[in-house]
Amino acid sequence: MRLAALDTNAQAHKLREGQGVTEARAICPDLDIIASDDAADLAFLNALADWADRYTPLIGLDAPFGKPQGLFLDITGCAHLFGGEAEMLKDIVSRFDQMGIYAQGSIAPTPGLAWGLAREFNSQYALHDHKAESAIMNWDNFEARFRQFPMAALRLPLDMLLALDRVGLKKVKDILSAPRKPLMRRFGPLLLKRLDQALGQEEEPVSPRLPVSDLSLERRLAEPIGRQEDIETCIEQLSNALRSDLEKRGQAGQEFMLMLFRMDGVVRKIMIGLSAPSRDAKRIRALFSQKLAAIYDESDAGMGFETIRLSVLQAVIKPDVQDSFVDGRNVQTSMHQLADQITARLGEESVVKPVFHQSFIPERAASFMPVIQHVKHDDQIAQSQYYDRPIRLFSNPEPVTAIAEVPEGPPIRFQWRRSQYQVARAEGPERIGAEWWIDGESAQTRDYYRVEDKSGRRFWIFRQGLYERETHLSQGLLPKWFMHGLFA
Amino acid sequence: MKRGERAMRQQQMRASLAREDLIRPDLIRKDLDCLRHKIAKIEKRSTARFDNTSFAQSVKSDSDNAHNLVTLPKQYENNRHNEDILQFDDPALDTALSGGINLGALTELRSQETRQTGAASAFTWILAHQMQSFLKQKHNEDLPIVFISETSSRLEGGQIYPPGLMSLGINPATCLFIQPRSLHDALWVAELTAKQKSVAATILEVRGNPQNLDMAGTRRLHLRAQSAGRPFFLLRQAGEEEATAARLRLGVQSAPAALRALPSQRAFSNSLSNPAFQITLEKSKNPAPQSFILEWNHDSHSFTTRSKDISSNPVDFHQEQPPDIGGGISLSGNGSDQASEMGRVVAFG
Repeated sequence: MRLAALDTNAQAHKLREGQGVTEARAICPDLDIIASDDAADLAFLNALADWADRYTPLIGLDAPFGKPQGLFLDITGCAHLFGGEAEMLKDIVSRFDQMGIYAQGSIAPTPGLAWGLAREFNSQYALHDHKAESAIMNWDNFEARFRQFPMAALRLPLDMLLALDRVGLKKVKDILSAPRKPLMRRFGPLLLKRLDQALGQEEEPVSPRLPVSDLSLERRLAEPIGRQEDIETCIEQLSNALRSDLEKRGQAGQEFMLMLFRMDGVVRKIMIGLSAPSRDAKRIRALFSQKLAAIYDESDAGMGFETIRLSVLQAVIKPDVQDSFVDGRNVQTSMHQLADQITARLGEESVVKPVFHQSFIPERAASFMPVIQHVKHDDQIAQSQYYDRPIRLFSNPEPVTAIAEVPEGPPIRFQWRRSQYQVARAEGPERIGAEWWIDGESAQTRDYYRVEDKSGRRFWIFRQGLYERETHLSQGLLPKWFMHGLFA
Repeated sequence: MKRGERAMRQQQMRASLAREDLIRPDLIRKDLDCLRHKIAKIEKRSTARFDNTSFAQSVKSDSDNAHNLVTLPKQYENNRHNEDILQFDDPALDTALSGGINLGALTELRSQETRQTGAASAFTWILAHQMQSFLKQKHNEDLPIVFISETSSRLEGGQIYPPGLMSLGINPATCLFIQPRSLHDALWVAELTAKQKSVAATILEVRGNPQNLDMAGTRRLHLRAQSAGRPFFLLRQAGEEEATAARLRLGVQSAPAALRALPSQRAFSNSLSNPAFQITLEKSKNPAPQSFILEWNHDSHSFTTRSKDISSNPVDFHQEQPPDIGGGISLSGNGSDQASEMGRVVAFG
């Protein structure tokens, strides 16, 4: 067992990462050792990233090889919302501190520089001494400090650091103006790549954790709220404000996401999808209220939510249609609104519409698709004319025992669900070949019969397999009969 | 011993009670019939005992009597102004339904057995479809049919099959299917859609007799349907007769299908053409339950009534050979000339 991470106390005792646990215990006998759990760390980091979403939508995880280490926040164009870079950094770090999390933060022109600075500069103490500016670098003042950075500030793997150390390259300034060719030959491309990235000569975008929404609007509340009605009022106000932005773009929202930032840093996300794009605030509110009614628990609010954000995840172009007097008369809620309302409460897989597919196998010819998805791909396959299909179809054909003429006669008598049926009339067979490109070459042909029993009940029965050609008596394989549907 | 005697006596008592239970429905039925006849007399309606044949006669005698013919429709004239009524264009059936099926109300349709579900659901869908096209004619509105089905009914009776709807003449693209996970959710949706004017008709399918759909539960649905002026169909799969708030309860069974007509205008004996339903008016304003056989023509979108005797002897296809197969129509089923066996067709090369 080896040490994977150290806290400040341990660092003060001169313990090192990668040290054996026994050795570490020898140095410091009353050592607390906790087994490392990268998955849990990553989940925690993700939660922190959710929390940090209040500062910028562009957040990347710094987790090389699945080992969570930090967060990258792309704050381009966001800092002024928090009173400038220094104030923003102070806000972030002090809020982390309030949550009981020790964090080091810095602001720099490139992710690489920021990474190094955050590790080199102990922001916690400086912020308390109102020296936040020293945690912030810009293109004017970075050079001198960057030269003094140790090699470790360049995000290099441990073995490379050791190799650099061995040849006496200890600080960034040692390689900054050194000839690149020998460095490249000796240490590989990564060293120079990291250097270029830090200097901004090579682009390094922060890859966002979540897709960035088209539009998003948030409201920071002076007094945290917890009641469902308050949240809904807030949603309506936000969607009213979003409406004008959407109108300017000629768009309407298809998917919305609500983020509720709780006081203690927990973030709740609620997503809704609409069966038809809309920007109607009342409708959006109604959908969220359905969803909240199903999942929201006021005790979950705890101390309350301090920030509420509504984002449009997906927007589509929608021409403006003028309301007419006639429409308002008798349509209380349109069909789409009804579908949305039900979807929000029961989930999207419960509200479905039929879709037709190009297949002759009955169970593949039609299926049900959630209305929400139905709207998205509107290209339906042209409905071919169907004759003589049953009104009810068993998704799994049920085996029946039947007596029938060999080879191609309809059943004369059959037993289904423990009852005997005498066939009075029958039509068929309708032969449907197997789809070998799906089921394989050994799939059997079906012969469908419409049969009517003595009391007038009509069934759809099929025989799977043809005599002689697809089944062999000698091998004990006989065609099987199945009940597939009930006719009107 | 004493304990044994007591047990014996208890058993006897139980047996006698059970016997009373057995007798009771008959007595009730008699009383009910008497009452209904009295009411019918007061309302001056025809009081014929309604099994189908005698009823047909009674209608005939009505048609001789011009007075009755005039008064009957008038009775429903007021009604028609307030509420939409679906008529079958058959005097006997429409009279029995006091004008037709009221479309702003809860109507219950019941299939006694699971294997009759096909007929019951098809009949319900057709009624809903009639309402849809009625609204389209009247208000020029394309409104959807909402079909809510409870899980167990889907598992036992099979899914509604969209191509099957098309072969009944219903366009499934204008329908919305709701598949809630629990009965509780199903009832929530039912209540929501029942009050919508933007829905042509709602069908709620349940299996058996769930407790939530008792008198009070159905009354809620009925009142909502009434205020919206849209029909609500409660489709009960394999359920018992139960007192509900529905004005009309129909028992639906399948009846032998019509025969196909050959080009020579003769019926093709071993064929299945238009589906037929046997409708029993289990709960209506009538003195006694009546039964009708309706045939659905999906091309003309209309029902035709037929008297029982035409189809009561279905053709036994094993004994009867088709008399005439006409020109160009191949023999199906029990044809003597089977196609000769082919080998596997193999692609060239």
